[in-house]
Amino acid sequence: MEPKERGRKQIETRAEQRESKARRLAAGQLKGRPVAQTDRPDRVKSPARAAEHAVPSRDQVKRSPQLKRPEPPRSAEQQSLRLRLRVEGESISILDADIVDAPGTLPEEVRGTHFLEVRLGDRILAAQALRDPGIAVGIPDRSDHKAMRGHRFIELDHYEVVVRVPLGSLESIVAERLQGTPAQRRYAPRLEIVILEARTSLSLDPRRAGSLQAQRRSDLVSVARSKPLPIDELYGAGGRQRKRADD
Amino acid sequence: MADSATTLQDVGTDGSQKTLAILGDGFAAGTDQTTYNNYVRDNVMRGVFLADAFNEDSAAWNIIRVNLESATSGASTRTWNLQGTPSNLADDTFTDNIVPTALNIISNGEWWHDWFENGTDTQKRIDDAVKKWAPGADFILIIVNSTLDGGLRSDNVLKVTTLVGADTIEHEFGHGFANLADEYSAKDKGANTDPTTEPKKVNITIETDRTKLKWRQYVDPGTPIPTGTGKDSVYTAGVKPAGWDDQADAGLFEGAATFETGMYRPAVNCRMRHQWDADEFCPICYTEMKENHRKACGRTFHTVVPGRFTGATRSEFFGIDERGISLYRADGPRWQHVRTTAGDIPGIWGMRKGDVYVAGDFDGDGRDELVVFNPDWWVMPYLGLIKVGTDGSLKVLARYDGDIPGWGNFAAHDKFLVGDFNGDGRDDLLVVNMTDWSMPYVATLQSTGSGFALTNRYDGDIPGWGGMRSHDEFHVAHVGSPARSDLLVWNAKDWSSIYLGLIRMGRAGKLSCIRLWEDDLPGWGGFAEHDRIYVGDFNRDGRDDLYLFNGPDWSDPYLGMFRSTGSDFAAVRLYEGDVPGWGGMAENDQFVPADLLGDGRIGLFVWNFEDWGPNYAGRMVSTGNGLNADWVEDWVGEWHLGTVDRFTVALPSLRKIVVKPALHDSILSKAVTRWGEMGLDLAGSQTGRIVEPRLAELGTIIVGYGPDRMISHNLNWLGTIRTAAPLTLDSIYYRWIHNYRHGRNW
Repeated sequence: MEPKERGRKQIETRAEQRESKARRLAAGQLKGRPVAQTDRPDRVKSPARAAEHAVPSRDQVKRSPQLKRPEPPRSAEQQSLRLRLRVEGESISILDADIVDAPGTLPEEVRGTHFLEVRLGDRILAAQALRDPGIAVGIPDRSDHKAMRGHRFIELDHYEVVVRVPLGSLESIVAERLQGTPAQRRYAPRLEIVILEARTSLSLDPRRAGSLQAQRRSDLVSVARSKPLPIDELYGAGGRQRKRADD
Repeated sequence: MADSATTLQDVGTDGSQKTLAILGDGFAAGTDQTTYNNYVRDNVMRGVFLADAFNEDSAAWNIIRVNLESATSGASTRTWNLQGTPSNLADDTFTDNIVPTALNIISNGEWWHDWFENGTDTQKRIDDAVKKWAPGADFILIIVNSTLDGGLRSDNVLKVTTLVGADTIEHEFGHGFANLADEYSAKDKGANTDPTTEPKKVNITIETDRTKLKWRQYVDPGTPIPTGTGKDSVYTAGVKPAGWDDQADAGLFEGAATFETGMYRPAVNCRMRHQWDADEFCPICYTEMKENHRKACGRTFHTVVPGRFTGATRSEFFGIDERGISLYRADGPRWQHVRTTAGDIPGIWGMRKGDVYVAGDFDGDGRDELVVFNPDWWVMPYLGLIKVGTDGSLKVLARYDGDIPGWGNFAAHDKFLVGDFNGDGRDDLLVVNMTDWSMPYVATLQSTGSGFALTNRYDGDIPGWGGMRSHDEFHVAHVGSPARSDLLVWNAKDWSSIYLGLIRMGRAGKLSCIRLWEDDLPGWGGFAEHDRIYVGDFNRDGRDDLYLFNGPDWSDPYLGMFRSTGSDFAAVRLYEGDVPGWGGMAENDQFVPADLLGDGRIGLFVWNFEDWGPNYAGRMVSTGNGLNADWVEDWVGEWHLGTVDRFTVALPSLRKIVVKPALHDSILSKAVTRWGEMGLDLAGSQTGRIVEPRLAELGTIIVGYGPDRMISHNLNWLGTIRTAAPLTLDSIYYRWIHNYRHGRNW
């Protein structure tokens, strides 16, 4: 009904109010005609016998120590390919790769001055910030009271980093390849792992299109990178997979 | 004992959450494991994750304690002889005591030798342990059982000995979590000199031009720049201003990143400067910590639950998120964080998506508790009663798994309403389910102080209501007495007529409908389908009255005021088309009842973001028998009104004042209806209003001052709207609640 067609309220007078329909009702008095019944479940609660119990004892409210959980999902979204990397100079090599029950590292935001990204062309599969890569930092010496003490910085000739690549991303790459042309199927996509250093502290969104370096080309320089890695060597094509970490 | 892992905090892995893995080395089976567990509890779970920024964002972290058994107690040790030439490592010799441990880490207690050395297979052992027990680890903390000092971080792996406490771990986490630089100076060991380039990290600089400072937004224009000069400076630019806070006020202080001069930091003190005597981050480090955890902790301001949780006079609210809930307390016109609980609530409740919280004083101590219900995340629905400690900590007092005796199983659409239906001074629950069974069910769950007991279940009907139907809407209202809750039930869809019922618990503890209005309330001119009910004591007589609004069903919108007579409503005023000052009611006007002036009369906070070009919010202030309105357009101060906004009423802070028992007696002797009129002079300028009808202790009166606090909130923003005068904004927060001394995080 359009507003113009609606009527005005007819407000009752005080005398009429006293004769209004509001009234005390005896318990159980029925209302008017129900509107058409809607479908309802057939379920009926059991009789409320327990309701007669007044206050439950402590035992009655005692509960199991843990909430019962649904079966943990083991979907590709909850799994990742865990890569242990060795960084030496400008070179990144893979020490081992395992499928683990943990999601990959592709956060909405990475912040800092050093970043590691695993990419396929311009597509980021995993990204994370690194903190002082290549340096070990010892805490100040609290026992030396002669001097104002500082951290001890130790430059490492090599160091290890772990990154988790979401399994779902790898599976979709493999699927795309298998659905491709024969030439595409023959060619194994190659992943690249890169460590980037920023000129200043940055906030980056790995889920945006383009690699981190492409997003901020003038602010990021590559300081270490892997050789292009055929995906077959990391993650199986045609159903071959790396071993599970708990196998 | 075999190796194992214990999840200390589970916040899920379905978003951007992070995982902290804690490993122990040199802890044998038996008492050593207790030592390890206690260290983690005291220094990490309490020492770190109950501290300011770490606690605020604790919902960002899964925390897994990996329990590795070493063959012997204590880590391997190595003692270096520096030969009197500490900086020359080539001539150093050592003796050692190598024992088999889980990770084969060697503790040497020597700064010049990096505190720790690895055994031949240490790196692999660490990686194997992480891969097996915490494969999603984003940061690894290794506790080494050694009486020697030591701490060493390499990227996201931090080793410390048991000699190191929470303060050092917090400082090192500042480096590891947020890439923060040190803010202290050094000379001799570890010192740097003559900085020449601008450092990359956010909390140090060589820049001394105020306009180019990285953290200029946090520096008060009145603060001199530089603020401290000279070696390892403190405040040297004159006399510190009154109220200056060495940790919370930002400036520019020489001496940072182990440079004594030439490098500057933002504050006199900070956790990144003096980890042993600073107990919080400076504003720049704090902000960077927050930014680094913002996505992972999942905090929003979408859902807030107000109450008085840690004290009977406090105005507080819980911010509810999927894996964490945070308590905030009123601090004048602002809010301050009290405590965040993440993952699990001891007792035990696992926080999950779909948790629904309500607050009430279920034990009658003047402080509110929480009731939480989750119908569908777990394999069965759960209901929990949660006590809030005076420090904001949470503990599950009672949990009901799948059912509460007598209810016959929880179901997906169970709804819980809070009210003291039997007038015993403790709030109770009313559980309502209109849709999941072949008939509607309602039951009263009487509070025992530490749990609930179902006292009566109503199958399909409450006597006198004439049959419950799926569209029955229940509202809690104190229609008869401020000390006892009634129910108003509204149904405009399921019958040929429209009904409003007043339901009250009788002496036998049973609910019955004592009043039923069919199709009209005298003075309203007829119920219509889209009538909306709002409850509030608009005339300050201690009984809740009724506002009725209808936007779409008539040629003009109507708003009616009906005062309670105890068991009936009498028409007071009917507004047609407009409430003077509002500028015209419209179909989508929305209302929240609130004590807008703090005078005990519940008026209406009103907004409309749909019917007009601009967005409007306003007040309809009750005079007791009418309303006076005003409005603002699009903005309340800096708050930009928008369709995503929600409005929640938090009660004002209260004052507990002590009076002579004789005076108290005289107050008690007054009728409840007069309490609201008994002004008490507070601090010579404010007039308080007695708001607590149950005066527990003779000589103590709870006095309210100020109006309700109107919280405006959406996913990222939270504000406090002052309603005592035409709407103004008291405070506004973005992404997190923190009261910066100057500037803000946007």
